[in-house]
Amino acid sequence: MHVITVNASEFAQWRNVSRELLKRDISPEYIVWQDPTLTQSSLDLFQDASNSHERNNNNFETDLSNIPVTTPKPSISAETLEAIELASCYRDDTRWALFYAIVWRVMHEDKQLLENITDNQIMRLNHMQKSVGRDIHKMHAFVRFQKISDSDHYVAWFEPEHLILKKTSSFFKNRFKNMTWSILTPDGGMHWDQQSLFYTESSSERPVINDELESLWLEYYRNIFNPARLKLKAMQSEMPKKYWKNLPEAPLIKSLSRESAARAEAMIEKNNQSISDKKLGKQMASIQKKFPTKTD
Amino acid sequence: MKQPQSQSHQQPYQKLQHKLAILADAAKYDASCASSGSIKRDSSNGTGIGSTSGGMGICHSYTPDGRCVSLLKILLTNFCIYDCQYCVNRLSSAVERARFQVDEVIKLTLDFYKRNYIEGLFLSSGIIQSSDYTMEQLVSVAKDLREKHDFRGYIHLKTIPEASPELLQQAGLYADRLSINIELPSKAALSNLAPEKNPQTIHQSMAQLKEHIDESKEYRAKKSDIIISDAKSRKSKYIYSPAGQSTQMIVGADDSVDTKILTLSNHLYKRYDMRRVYYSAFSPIPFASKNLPTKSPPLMREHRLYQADWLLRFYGFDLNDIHSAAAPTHGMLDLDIDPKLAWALANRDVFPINVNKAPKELLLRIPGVGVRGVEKIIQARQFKALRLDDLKKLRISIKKVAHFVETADPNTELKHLDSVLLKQLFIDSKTEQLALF
Repeated sequence: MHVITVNASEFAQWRNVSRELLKRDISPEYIVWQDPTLTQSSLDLFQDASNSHERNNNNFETDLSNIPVTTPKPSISAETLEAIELASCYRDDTRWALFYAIVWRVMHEDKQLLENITDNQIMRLNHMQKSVGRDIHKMHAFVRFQKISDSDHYVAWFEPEHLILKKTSSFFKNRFKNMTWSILTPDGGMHWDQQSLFYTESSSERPVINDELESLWLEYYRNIFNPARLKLKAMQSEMPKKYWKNLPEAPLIKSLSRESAARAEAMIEKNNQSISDKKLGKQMASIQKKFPTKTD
Repeated sequence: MKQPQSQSHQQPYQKLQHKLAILADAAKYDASCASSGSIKRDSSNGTGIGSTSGGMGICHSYTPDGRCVSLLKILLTNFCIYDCQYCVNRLSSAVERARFQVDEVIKLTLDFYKRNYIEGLFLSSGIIQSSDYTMEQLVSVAKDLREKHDFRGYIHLKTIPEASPELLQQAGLYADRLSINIELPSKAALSNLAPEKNPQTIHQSMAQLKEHIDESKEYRAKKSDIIISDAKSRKSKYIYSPAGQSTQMIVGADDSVDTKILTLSNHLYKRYDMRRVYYSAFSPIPFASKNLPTKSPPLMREHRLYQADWLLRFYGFDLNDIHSAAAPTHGMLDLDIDPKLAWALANRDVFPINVNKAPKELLLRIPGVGVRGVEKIIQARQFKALRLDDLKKLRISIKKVAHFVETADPNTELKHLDSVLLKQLFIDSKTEQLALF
C-alpha cells in the first residue's frame, strides 16, 4: 500500500477524513497529514507551482475511492472526540496525525486507552488539552478592552498562544451581552453588536486607542501592590511574560519592583510617626464633625 | 488655547484618581481577592453586564507581590473611629484620609468591569459615625449595582460584626460572599490590640451568616432546577451569599503559636462552614503602633500556615497530626520544610507507602504528592504496576517522594528512611537548587 496524503485544518474536517480512513482500515503509518493553514507558507518555499497543483489534487476522495470500505460504521466514544476537539486548538501541525493514531488505537487496541495516562501518546494529548485550557482561561483573564472615545465600542487586541478564539466566544458574549465589542487577534477578529456574533479575517497589528480610564486602572494597580512582599517568581508563573506586551499595567512591574525595598523601608520609618494624644482627640473630633451621628 | 470645558472635566477626574490611590492602598492588607465558589450566572437574559463561573474564579492580573488581582478591592472610606493597633487606618494613624461616594464606587466598578480588568468588587470600610451607618453604605453600593444596573459580576462585602442583624441579612441578598475578620488568634490579644472589638460579637455574627447561608442553600436545593439571576428573582429565590463566608487572621502581631492558630481555624471551618481562613502575616505598616512587634514574621510562616490549613481541609489530617508535625519545633511549623514532610519525619513508621496497593487516605500522606497526584496514581495503577519512572510521567517529583514510597522496581533511596539525617537531606537539596539560580 502506498502512502496517502490528506489535509485537515479544523476539527470537523479531520473528523470527516478520519472517518473515511477508518472505514477502510488504513493504518496510521500509511497516512501523511497536512495542515494547510499552519504549513502552507513553509511548504511553498520548497515546491514549485506544478507540485503544489498536484498536492491539491491529492485529496482523499481521489485517493480513497479505489480502496474498498471494510468497516462501514467505525465508532469512537463521545469523550474521546471531545478530548480531541479541545486538543485540536493546539497550535502544532503534527496534531492531526497524533489524533488519528490515537483513534486507531482506541478502535484496534484498547477502548480505555484515554484512561492510560502514562501512555506517551495520551500524555501528549493531555498536555495539549491542558495547555489549550490554560490559554482559554488566560484569555478570559487578560483581554483588555479599550473604549473608543465618543462611541460605545470596546475594542481589545489579544495574541492567544493557541487557536482558541472561537472557544472564548460564549464567555465574552454572555458576560458583555449589552456592550458592543470587538476582540482582534492575529488569527482573526471576533465581534459582538449586542445581537449577533461574527468573525472577520485576521488582523495584523493592535489598533491604537487612547482610553483615559486606563490611568485609573494603573493607579489602582500601583496602590494595591504591597511593596513589603515582593514575590516576582510567583507573579511570573501565573502571568508569564508572553502576555505582558498587551497588558497596560505590565510596564509598571519593573519600576514597582525596583522601588519596593525603599518603599517598604519608608513604611517602617514612618512607624514612629504615630500621632500624639492631643492630636488623637482632634482626629476623633474631626471625624465626628464630618460624619455626625444622627439624632432621632 | 484653554478649554474650560475639558478643565472642569479633568479636575474631578484627578481627584477621583487620588481617592482611588488612598483607598486601594488602605485595602491591600486584606489578603483575599477570590472570586470563586459562587453560583453560575451570566447576563444573557439581563439588561446589564457580568457573569460568574460558578467554580473557579478568574485572576485578571498579578502584582509583583505575587498576589492575584481579581476584584476591585477598595475601602469606601479609611476614616475610622476605631483604634485597632495593627490597622493602618486606625484613628491614631497619621495616614491620609479619603472617602468615596456610593455612586463613585459603582461607576468605578462598572467602568473597570467593562474593560475586563476585574471580576467584580470587594468592598470594605472604616467605621464612620456608627457601625450601622457604615454597613448601610456598604449594602447600598451592592444593592444599587444589582438592582439599578443589573450587575451580575462578583461582589464581596466585608461585614461589620457590630452592625444590626437586619443589615447582615440584607447584605447577603446582594453579595456573593461575606466576610467578617476574626482579626487575631486569641481573645486576649484582641482585647489588648483592638479594644473596640468584641470576640463574642464576631462569633455571633458569623453564626448568623451561617444560618442565612444554610437556609438559602436548603431552599435552593429544593428548587435547584432553575436558577434565575436577575435582581428580583434573586430575592424571591432567596439566594444568600452563595459563595459562603470567609475570614482573615493576622499572624505575628501577637505571640500565638501556629498550633493555636490552626486550632482556631479548624474550629471556624467546622463551626461556621468557612470557605476560607486567610492568614495575613503582620506587615510593617506606616504609622504602626508602638504596642506591636517591630519586626514582621517571615512570609514563609504565612505560607506554612496555608499548607497546614490545606492538610486539614483536603488531605484528611486532623489537629493531632498538626501537633505531631509541629512538636519538634515547639508548636510552630518548621520554616525549613513543609508541614507534610515534617509530619512524615515525625511518623516514619507509616512509611514506606506502596503506591500500587495503598488506599487513597495513605497516598495523601506521601510528602510531595498533591491531591491531583494521588488521583493520577490511582488512575494509572489500573493499567500497570507503577515504577519510579511512571511517577515521573505523572509529574511527581522523584526527589521528593523516593524516600517514602515502594514501587514495582527496587528503590534504593528507601535506605535513608530511618536516618536521622533525612531532614538535612531535604534542606541541602533545596539550598543546592537555590545556588543554581
